Amino acid sequence: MNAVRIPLALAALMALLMSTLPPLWAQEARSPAVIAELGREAYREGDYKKAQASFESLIEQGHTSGPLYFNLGNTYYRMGEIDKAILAYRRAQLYLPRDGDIEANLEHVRQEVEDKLEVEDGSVGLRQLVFWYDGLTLQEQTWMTLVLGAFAWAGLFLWRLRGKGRLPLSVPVLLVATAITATTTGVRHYELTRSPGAVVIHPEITARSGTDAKSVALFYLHAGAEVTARGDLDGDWLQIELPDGQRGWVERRFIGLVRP
Amino acid sequence: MVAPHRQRILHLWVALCGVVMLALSVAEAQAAETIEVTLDRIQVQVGEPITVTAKVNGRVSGAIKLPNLPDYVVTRGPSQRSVTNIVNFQVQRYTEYTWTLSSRKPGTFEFGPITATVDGKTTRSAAYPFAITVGTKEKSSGARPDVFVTASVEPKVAYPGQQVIYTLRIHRAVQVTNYRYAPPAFDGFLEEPMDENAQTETTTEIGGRPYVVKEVRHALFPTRAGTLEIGSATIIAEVLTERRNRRRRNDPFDVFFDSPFGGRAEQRELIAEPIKMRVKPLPPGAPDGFYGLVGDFDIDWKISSRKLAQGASSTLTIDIEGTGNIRDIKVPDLSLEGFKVYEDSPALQLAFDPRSRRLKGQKQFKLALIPLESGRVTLPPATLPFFDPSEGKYRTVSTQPIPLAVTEGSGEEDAHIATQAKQREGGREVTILGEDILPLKTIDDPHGAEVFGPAHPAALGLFMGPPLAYLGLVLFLGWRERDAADPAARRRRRALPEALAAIKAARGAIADDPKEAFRSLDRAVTGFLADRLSLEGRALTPREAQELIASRGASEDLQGDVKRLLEALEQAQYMPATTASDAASARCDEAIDILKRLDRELP
Repeated sequence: MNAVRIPLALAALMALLMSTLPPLWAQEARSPAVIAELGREAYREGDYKKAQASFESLIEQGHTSGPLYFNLGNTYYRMGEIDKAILAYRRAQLYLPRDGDIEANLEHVRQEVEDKLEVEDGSVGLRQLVFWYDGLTLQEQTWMTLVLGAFAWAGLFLWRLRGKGRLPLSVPVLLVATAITATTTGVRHYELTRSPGAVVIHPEITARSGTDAKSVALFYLHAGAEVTARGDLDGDWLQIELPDGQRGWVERRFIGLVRP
Repeated sequence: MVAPHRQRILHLWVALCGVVMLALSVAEAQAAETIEVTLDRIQVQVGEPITVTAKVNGRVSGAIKLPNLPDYVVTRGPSQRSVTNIVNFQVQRYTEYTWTLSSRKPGTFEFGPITATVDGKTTRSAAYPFAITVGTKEKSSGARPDVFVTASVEPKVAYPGQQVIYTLRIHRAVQVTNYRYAPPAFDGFLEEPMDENAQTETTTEIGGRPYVVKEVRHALFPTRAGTLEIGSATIIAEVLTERRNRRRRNDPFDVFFDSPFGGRAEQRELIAEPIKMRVKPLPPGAPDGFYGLVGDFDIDWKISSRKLAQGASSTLTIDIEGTGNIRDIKVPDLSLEGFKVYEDSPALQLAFDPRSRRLKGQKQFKLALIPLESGRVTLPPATLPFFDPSEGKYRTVSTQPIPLAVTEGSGEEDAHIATQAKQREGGREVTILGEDILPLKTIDDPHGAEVFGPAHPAALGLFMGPPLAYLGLVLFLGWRERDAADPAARRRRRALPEALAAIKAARGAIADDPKEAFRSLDRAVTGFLADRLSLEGRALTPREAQELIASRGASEDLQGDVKRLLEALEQAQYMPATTASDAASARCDEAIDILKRLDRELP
């Protein structure tokens, strides 16, 4: 009997172990490109929950990109979650800041937001002057600074090694340009990491004067409202700032940061 | 005292002045309560002006009222001016009011007293009435005037809702400028504004005299059956005539004035006779759905796509055009079951058709159709019943049915119909039927999160590396310059490495030639001292070496060691080769130790 039982037990154990392993085709299906295409297919078929799951899984795996966040924004919009749609579009803009489709969809979805927080930005003139601040990704700005710096320092090296002749005008120009782009890149980095844009992802939240529910209620915000986060981004409460400068504390779980 | 005759003269003067002043005051008092009315003529032709002037002495408060006049008399004015005259020592101050009257009809009417409140009292002008006679030039002379107007309607008998064209014709055989047109009252009609194309100008000949005929048209639609009257139309224009005699030119009350063309411009009022027309009621037997359209119409439609997805939007465009009361056209009742229908604002275009000399137009309806069920469906024909006055009967026009194929869709894709009409300058209205987000993007290459930013170590290294390297270069070049400028310092700095290298070479030569190795070792030590102490020559006796390093502050032990080493090296050069070979290696170690101590102690 044992001669029969032992092989059967081993076979059953092997079958059990194999059943826990993913099949080979499943391994193929989990490649990022396939998951992305599955999400698009689900979206086209109207299965938005499946599309959302596909796009979210890619993001959780670290496969983030502008088109991916854009598609996720479309999916959330179709699901009626305009707050998450806005958050996804804003994140897509981090990767594709010059993409007109994202801007168009974002403007379309913003029309459905209850809170109208469009306030004239006082730094519009400066932002137009430093056009790359909003027009380039942080990575592009970093590369731009490095390339400009490489040319500037190379010119300075050559001038120094050739002896102290007349310094070509291009060298100080490049050095100044490098300094400006380095400054704006640093500011952009600070803005994204320390005071990033944020979106209210709850139907209605109350901004208070302090970090507890007993503090004075200052104002209400509704799903999709776009604000700026301040201070400690990892605590239970987050300080937010409205475009007109008003500040208040809200529960962190009700806020989605544009810079994830 | 004054002489009596002189006193009499003085009295006479005083009395005379008093009489004059009394006379002036009486004259002024007599004029103060007068309203004097004058008419420049009392026999005129139809449309010819009559100038009425009222001189009022005193302050007028409130309005000055003309007498009651017949309806067909048109009044313009008054204009007002203040006048002060001294005539025969009489001061006359008065206010002059001027009106212009004209009659649209021939006949006779009375012009009664004018009433005004003068100096707080209600005052009337002289009680006698003027009898004004209005005639017609045609009847009196039998010839056509230079300028005249006529009016007509087409057709003369119409139905309610039928388009009627009222045409006012201005005939002129002379030059006429500055038209001012007061259209008639179209009571009982709806009027549709006409564009400039409805105004035409032709030439004709009447009684052998050429005339330019300007036609002004109005599109009218009777609102009820019965006899309707179109009131008289009035045109005030300046007729250019030849210059009249000098006397009238210099008359300040002349209503004529010079024209820049050399003639004289006479202001005339041209009046078209009222017109009565009959409006017949519509005959019985109106078809179902008839709601009062009268004219000649045609209907057509088209759909943006015959293959639809369930829940997707498609645009159905219905065009109705023709002549008639187009503005009253309503969207046809389509009775579309299984569709959601969103109606956009209709677009109406009306224009004068020169060929038919009527107002022709088009009304376009746009409907967004959203099928709720899949399958094959057919849009039933759209019908439009109307009364055709040219044939005198009711007609119905209809469209062709449209077959549609509706495929299954998500059912959640309801179109967001908006009716925001955006006007582009000089272009046609663009109607936005729906708004939606843009479709998905292709994710060609999902990649990892962006990690390369300014805080990335590689980025920091690349950013800080060049300036640090440049700083190093600057320091190096500076050191090199300073080194080249001070050879003694360079000798001092290089003394130990060169000596150690020489000792190493000497150690390597021990096996081959021990004596030569000792000589090399001796040169290395004395050379080190010469370089370190900046001596020109390299030959030193042990004693000289001891004294030199003593003078530079070396310790006594070191002084002794240096002296003994140099003495030993001198002696070793004269030893037998076998003995020298054994001692050479130990002397090398000793020399290295002493040179390092010297390098530390010497300045």
